[in-house]
Amino acid sequence: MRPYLRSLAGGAALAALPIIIGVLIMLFASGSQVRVTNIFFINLIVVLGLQVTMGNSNVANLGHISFMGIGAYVAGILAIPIAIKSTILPDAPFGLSVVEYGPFAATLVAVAVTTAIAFVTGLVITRQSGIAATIVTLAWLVIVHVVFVNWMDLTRGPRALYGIPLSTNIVWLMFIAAAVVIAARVFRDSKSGVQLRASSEDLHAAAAMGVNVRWLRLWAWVFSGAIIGLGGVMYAFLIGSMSPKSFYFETTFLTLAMLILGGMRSVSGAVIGAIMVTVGFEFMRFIEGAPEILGVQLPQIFGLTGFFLGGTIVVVLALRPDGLVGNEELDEMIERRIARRRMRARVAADG
Amino acid sequence: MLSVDLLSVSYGAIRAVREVSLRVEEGEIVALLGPNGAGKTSLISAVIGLVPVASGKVMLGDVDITRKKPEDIVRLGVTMTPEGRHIFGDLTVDENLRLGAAVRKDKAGVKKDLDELLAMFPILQERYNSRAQTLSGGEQQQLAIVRAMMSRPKLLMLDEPSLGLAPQLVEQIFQLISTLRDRGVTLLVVEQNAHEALLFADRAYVLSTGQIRFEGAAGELAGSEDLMAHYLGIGAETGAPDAADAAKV
Repeated sequence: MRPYLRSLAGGAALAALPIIIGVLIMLFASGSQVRVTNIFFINLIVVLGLQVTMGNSNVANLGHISFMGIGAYVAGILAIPIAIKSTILPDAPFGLSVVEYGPFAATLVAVAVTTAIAFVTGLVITRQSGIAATIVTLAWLVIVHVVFVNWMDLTRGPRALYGIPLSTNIVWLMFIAAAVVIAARVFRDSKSGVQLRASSEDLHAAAAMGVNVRWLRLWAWVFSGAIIGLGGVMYAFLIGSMSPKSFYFETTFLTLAMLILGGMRSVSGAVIGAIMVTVGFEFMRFIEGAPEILGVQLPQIFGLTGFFLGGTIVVVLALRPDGLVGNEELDEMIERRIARRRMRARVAADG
Repeated sequence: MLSVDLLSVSYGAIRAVREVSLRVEEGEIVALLGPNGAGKTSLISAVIGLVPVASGKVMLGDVDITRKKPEDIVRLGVTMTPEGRHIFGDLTVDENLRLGAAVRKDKAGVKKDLDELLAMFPILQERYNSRAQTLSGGEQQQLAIVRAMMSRPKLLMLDEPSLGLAPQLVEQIFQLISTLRDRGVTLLVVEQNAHEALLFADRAYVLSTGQIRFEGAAGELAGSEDLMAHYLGIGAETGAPDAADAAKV
């Protein structure tokens, strides 16, 4: 009971961060900043989903964005009003052209479909370990992309799928992000999470304890797929349109960078990484637009944001290979510092 | 309790264990001795299902566990602490201990055992929420053994529990092993530190190049300088346990 409560409290403290950010933005920020924050929340949900598998099992996952795409497409296709669907998806299979779901039903179905697909792919992917598993995840991303691009009747292929009713907003997003923070943290500290982390540290020793590594990896993969699928659904309902390239390498690398930068071994790392990259990105975008600062006209530099992303990853990983936060959660780190200070005080008093 | 019959383990063309037979009776401490590369670790790894058995048979009581999966074997009451401690350094003491109970479903029993073991090992209680890698060598070894106890094993196999420990800690670890026996655990202890192990073991096997070279009472092996020199390459001049430890450290 005690460790469970600790983890819940730590998760709740961390979950306050997206709520605080959301409230501040709602109170003080401009429309464009709200848009940036909305996207930040969606990225955060995806990064947390990625942390669940990659952070705990320490197997790099390059295919996670496929689940974002599946969630977004399923929800989008279900939610587009029939009137619009008859123009853009007249030949949709499975009788989908005459189906119109509300946002809640569409979300539920989309997350369920994503979870089911994650389960089936997980059966294959968790058979591999190490670099082989990573390559299979990459292959999976490519497969899903090819399906999006070529299944014209279902997805409109490379053209944009539009007309999805805008059904989410910053309030929804911030609460969902906060809930996912807590879920990821509770998973990390749960029996399964601890066993998975142990197996990533020492496969042999964990197996000798009777840990069923394959089953745990599968479970984490499915849970992660569900979270990322939810992120995709929110994307569909926020933007209202999408195309296959919304869910390909660019998003893959952006979210991976967020996770690795913050430190993939902890949920705090995922949150901090998402915040840092978003803030850095927006700042670079601002500089890129050749602003005048304190009377100095800056030159226009194209590609600064991409350069920034690559550069920051190189610098951070060179100086702090475990990411900014490292292996520990922030609350654990603070607790340890306090304990150490107390012990030092006690030793000093004794001496 | 455990009987191993003509067990062989191969890694490709290399035969690490050749037709080894051994028995461990309930309540015994059995030492498995032998030099580096003798096949000791391979043997116990095969018993718990971590490496595949090439031929032969492993029985736990009346249950054939020869090709069972590790988690099933652990569930049947066999646990192993791997060589070099293998605690999970990034996890806390608490998480390490809970891992030991990975296969158990009785939450109340796990809690009870945890409290009981923590009372026996106050140092672990004190460092309960610390990362295991911040513990000293001796503490880590205690943690590894207590963690193994969390699965409530009938048979506990320890792989080189004294490896890398200072002499006084070695003594402490073997004392701990005797305590475990008093609690009803049967132990199979793999050791290079033959002198110390033989002080606590009932019986001993000597393994060399994958084959059993000696089996008998621990006292018989320890009492005979000839046997010790012959099987373990330990000279008469290092006969005293302290000297042997010093030489090892």
